[in-house]
Amino acid sequence: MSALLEQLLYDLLQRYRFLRDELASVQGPPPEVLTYRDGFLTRVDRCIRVIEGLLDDPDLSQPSFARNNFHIYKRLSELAQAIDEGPVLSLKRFSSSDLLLTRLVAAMCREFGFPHTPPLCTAMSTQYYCTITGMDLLLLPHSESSHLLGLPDVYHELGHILLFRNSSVLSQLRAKSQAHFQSEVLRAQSEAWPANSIAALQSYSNRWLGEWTLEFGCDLIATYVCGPAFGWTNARLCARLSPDFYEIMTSHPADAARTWAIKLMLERLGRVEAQAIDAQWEELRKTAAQNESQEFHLAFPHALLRELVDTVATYCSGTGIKAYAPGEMPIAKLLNDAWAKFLSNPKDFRRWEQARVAELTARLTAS
Amino acid sequence: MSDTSALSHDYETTAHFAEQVNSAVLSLKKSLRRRTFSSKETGSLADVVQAVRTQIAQELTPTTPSVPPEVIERLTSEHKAQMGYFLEDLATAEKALRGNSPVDSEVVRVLDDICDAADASASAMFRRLRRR
Repeated sequence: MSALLEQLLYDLLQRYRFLRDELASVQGPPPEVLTYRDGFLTRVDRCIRVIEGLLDDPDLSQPSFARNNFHIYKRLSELAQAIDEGPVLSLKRFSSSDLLLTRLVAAMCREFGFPHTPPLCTAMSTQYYCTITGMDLLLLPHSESSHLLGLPDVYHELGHILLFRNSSVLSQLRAKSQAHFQSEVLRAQSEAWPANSIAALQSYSNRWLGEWTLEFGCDLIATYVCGPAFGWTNARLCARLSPDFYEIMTSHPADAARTWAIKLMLERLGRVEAQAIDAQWEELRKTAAQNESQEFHLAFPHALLRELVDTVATYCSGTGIKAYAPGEMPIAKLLNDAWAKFLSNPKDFRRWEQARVAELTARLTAS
Repeated sequence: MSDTSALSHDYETTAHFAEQVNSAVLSLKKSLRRRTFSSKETGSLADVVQAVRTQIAQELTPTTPSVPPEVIERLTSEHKAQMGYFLEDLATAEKALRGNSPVDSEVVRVLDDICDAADASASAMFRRLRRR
């Protein structure tokens, strides 16, 4: 009987060969989709060669290497599954809505100087807007290709790709949060705070080191390049989905803190709309009967949020990422116009929106 | 906007780290077995061990490479009971990988610990992405 690792590798080799055939069988996609497909064909071919190399390696059965070879198998196996569930699924079912979204995202990227190849975008998400970072794949819910008010969230998702590819800015943001909380813990100790309050500070510090910094970074990039429309979309999303604006969760920062950070960025950009968004947020807060918890400012100090805003703005301007400028960014302007139109006349907005979506579709999918 | 994006980012970062460290440790094991080991080739592993030690000790010194927080959490939790000894082992391993003392089975054991923590972190995130 063959050894376990050998069996697993043959099984995986067959899976990769199948994925290669599936990708190759995608017929007649437009050029940008073909480029995306070809990138994955190359990756899959490379994995096939790695597996064949491992199977030919006389050291494969060497006991002291077994665990390391098993780890190689696991990463390759995860990649095969991710390619199957992301790119292959998207390409095999690629529709006209997906083409519109892919080209819309590419146009957004060109407008603000996104420094990487734009991702593929498909309307098949069951998880609201999300990015599969390593697959360069952005997933949106089905309806979003026919609507405008949620699209500013695309900029947040592009922020995930930016921060993944440019990890130095994320490291800077994390270092700022860690410096802040380290000094707060020292202050708390010197002022003899209760042990549970000091433990809370340490726990916030860990959350900033994890997901919080990333989410703030993406929000701030989105606000920088898309302007007030992102602030309005954020407020609407909080109204739709947030159970508690001040809840201190592990995965995402509290919605109220994110809203505050977006406001700070809009103010830094000199956008007068910041006040109107703030007023609507206040109305939403009162309507939902939500109040700040005692710990809220400990977890999300304004001074730290200001530092993040400065760091993101400096990073963007230093790397050629453009701040929202209506005259130079027709797509971002359209999304801002959509929000202005909606706020002034929500009842008749849909007719206006449908006409703009039809124009956009004709323009972006003509060729 | 959903948790998926952040998790996907963390998974990619952690899986990349796991892959890099595992590949370097495997090369080291192979060169030790063939008696072709040279400390000139282990500088990057020494940097990883140093980064792990610095981040576990919560020193604010920026390190290259940066070790994913989940890997640090996992190592911290696994060695909580004997953290002092673990930090010492890391310092000894780093010294050896920089060519200042022999690379023995204890050094390889420390490296295997880091590989295992990175692998387990990447696997856990991959699974969380699929909510199983």
